[in-house]
Amino acid sequence: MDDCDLSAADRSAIEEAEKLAQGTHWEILGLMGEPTATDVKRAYFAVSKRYHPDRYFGKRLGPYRARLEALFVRAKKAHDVLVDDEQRKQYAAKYPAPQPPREPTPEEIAREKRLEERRKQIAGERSAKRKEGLKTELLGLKVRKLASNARAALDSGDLEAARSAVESLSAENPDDKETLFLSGQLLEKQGKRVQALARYRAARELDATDADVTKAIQRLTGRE
Amino acid sequence: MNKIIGIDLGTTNSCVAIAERTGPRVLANRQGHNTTPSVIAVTETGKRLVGQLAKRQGITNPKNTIHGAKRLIGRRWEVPEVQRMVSLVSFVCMEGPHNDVRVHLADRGYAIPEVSSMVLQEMKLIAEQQLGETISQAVVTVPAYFNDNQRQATKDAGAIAGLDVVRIINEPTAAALAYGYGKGLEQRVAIYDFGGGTFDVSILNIGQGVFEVLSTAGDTFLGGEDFDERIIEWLRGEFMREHGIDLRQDKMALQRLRDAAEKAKIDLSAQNETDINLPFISSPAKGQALHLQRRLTRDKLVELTSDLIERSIAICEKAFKSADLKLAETKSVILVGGMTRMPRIQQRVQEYFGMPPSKGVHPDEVVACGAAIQAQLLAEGSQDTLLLDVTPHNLGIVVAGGLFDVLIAKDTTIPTSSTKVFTTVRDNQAQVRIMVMQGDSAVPQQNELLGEFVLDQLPSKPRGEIQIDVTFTISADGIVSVAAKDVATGRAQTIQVTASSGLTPSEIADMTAENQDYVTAFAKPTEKDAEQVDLEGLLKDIEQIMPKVSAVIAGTEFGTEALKKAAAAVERAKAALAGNQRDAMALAKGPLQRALSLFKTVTAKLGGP
Repeated sequence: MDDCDLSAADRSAIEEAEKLAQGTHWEILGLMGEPTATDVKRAYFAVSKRYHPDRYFGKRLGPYRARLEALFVRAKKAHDVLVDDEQRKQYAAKYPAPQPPREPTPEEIAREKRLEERRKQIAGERSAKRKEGLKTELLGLKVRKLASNARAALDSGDLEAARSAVESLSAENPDDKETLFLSGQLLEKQGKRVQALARYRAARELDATDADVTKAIQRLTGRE
Repeated sequence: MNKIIGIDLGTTNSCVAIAERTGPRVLANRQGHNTTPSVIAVTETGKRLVGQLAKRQGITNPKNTIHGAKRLIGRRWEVPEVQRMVSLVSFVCMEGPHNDVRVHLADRGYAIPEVSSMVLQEMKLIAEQQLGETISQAVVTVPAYFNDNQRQATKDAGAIAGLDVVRIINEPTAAALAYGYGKGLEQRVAIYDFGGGTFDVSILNIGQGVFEVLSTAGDTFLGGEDFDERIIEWLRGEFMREHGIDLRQDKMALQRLRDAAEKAKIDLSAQNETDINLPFISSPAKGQALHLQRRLTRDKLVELTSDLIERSIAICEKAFKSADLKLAETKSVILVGGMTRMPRIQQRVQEYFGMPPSKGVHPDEVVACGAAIQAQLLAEGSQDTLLLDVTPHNLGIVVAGGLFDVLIAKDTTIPTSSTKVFTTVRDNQAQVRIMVMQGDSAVPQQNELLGEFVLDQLPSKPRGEIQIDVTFTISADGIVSVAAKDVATGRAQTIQVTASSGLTPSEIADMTAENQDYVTAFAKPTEKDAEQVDLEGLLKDIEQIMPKVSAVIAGTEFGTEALKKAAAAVERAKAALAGNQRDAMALAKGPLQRALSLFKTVTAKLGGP
């Protein structure tokens, strides 16, 4: 395509470095705080190894050759200034080194620790609540399923299936209008009208507005 | 991926290595040696000889045997160092068409890069034979203090030999790499590199796999050959006093003196004294023969050469001073180059640095190993190890007869760039001629001209009103480019400064083609056969025994005759070996065996060895 064998990753790494090279001597070498001369040298060696054109020996570099050389020259210049006490002092007066995050005090560490614990606690509570909610939801699902099974069985006249569903439903969710109502329906179908009426009435205790329950009571008593 | 070899192209010896998973490995030549003499010769039949073969026949063929070509490479004919060397060597030098140096061998003139290419070619062959594959790329080392013209000439030599020199690196830097690679060091080291022809000192920081050269200094005309030269001069002087004969006038005698001086110097690294015996060194009249016999002690050698050693220490001092470095911060001193075997040098280095030199690097092989490591690092695009070298000389420009304006100072890490504003010196000046120079003198003439260019079509303006930005860039591989821009009009001009080796591109192309023809026609490597091994053994034995017996029997008529016959047999055997002539080798064997048994009888009678 062009006269250059560099991969897209190499190219974008070079472009990234060029952005850094626009900045201060500290930035091109990735230094902050109070680096020693040895730190500066190490940083310079690391950058050199990455951008010296020899790394790409034998490859066609096209315009990137000059760009790599410029990056190297830039790093070398930064090194030369920062490794020399006098020049570094002058440079730092104009462009101070970026500061690394300050070391926290013991109080801050303690406070941070407390906050951290509180965060954990809250998270734990949340998680417990979430679990509880999940459980309820699952239970609801099960109950709804059992109720619909019971209804279907009652409609189809499969009293045995209806009985088993209503029994399970009564075990899972006894004090429930729907459970009581379905239980009443089953008893009514089994001809146990008195017991059925008792269930319907209990259901009405829980919800007096339910039309189905009211209708069932009227059916068995002829009034009310 | 093709392998890249590392070559240490030395003044006296060269070495080739390859980096493998287990570390660098030196590749031995056909004779089984890890280094090969940087000597080349051309026989009367036009056959090229390189290395041991060339060195051995040097005595009988001094005019056509070139040693120390590295001291002439990339240099202009008229510089005093070249002129001095030309006056000392036994081969013929002349001025080339581009103000360069040419040597005359057998039938024609050869450019110095051509001579060096023969050595590089040999190193390439050694590598190909050892690795069993074609090699076409190399990292080649040069003295740190070489200027760009010398570096370019070395690259050209590679091209002529069919080698793409992918990188030129500095010898001491290579040594530091070989010393510290993979050890996770974090320290400052000094490399004291005293080779056959050049002296270099480099100071480096090693840390996190980065080898950063901080300072370098050197002298490209200070080396082992200068020590040899001192011994030669001493022997010549003694002989002159005794016999009134100047041995320098006799090329063959000079070559024998040179070999004997080098051998004596090497011997004195291991022993306290050595005997120099050169029978039949001169023959002032028919039937008359003069012999040279001297005993050289370590102390005498130190006396002859102490100023050379002190010069090296002064250069170390300069390397520390120029980069404002403290001697005390140096944690290790590494000795490189054959000359560092000299006890006095080791002692002086220890005194100066205040610590014993580091052991554990091989002074003759460490540079080639470092070159091989760098070759591997480049080939792999290493992310862990990096060499940061410096430019050894000031680089700047001279505008119209002005002074030398330095834009990039010596010891600046490369790659680098620098910009300076220049202006016109006359009203309505239409063009500015800019000369690019390299060197450490404020006087332009004393520096090396790398190239020049003209910025023209400047608008008419009073002097001083036009601003020209001149930007110098040195890339990671040491290539210098200069961009000049007229600030007002934005008219820009960029040139790549190709340092001049003294050869034009078309000359290099011709030489490369010619060399290729030669390679296909001649240079089929031959296995060393039994005949050759036998003859070499005989030669070695007889050369050892001859000085001892000659002292005893030289006076007698019988003895003189026997010695003369033996000497002739030795020369014949050497010529046969040098020319690789099988028949002549077989013929030379008989007389040598007879002479050897006779001498053995003599020494047995004397109760000697």
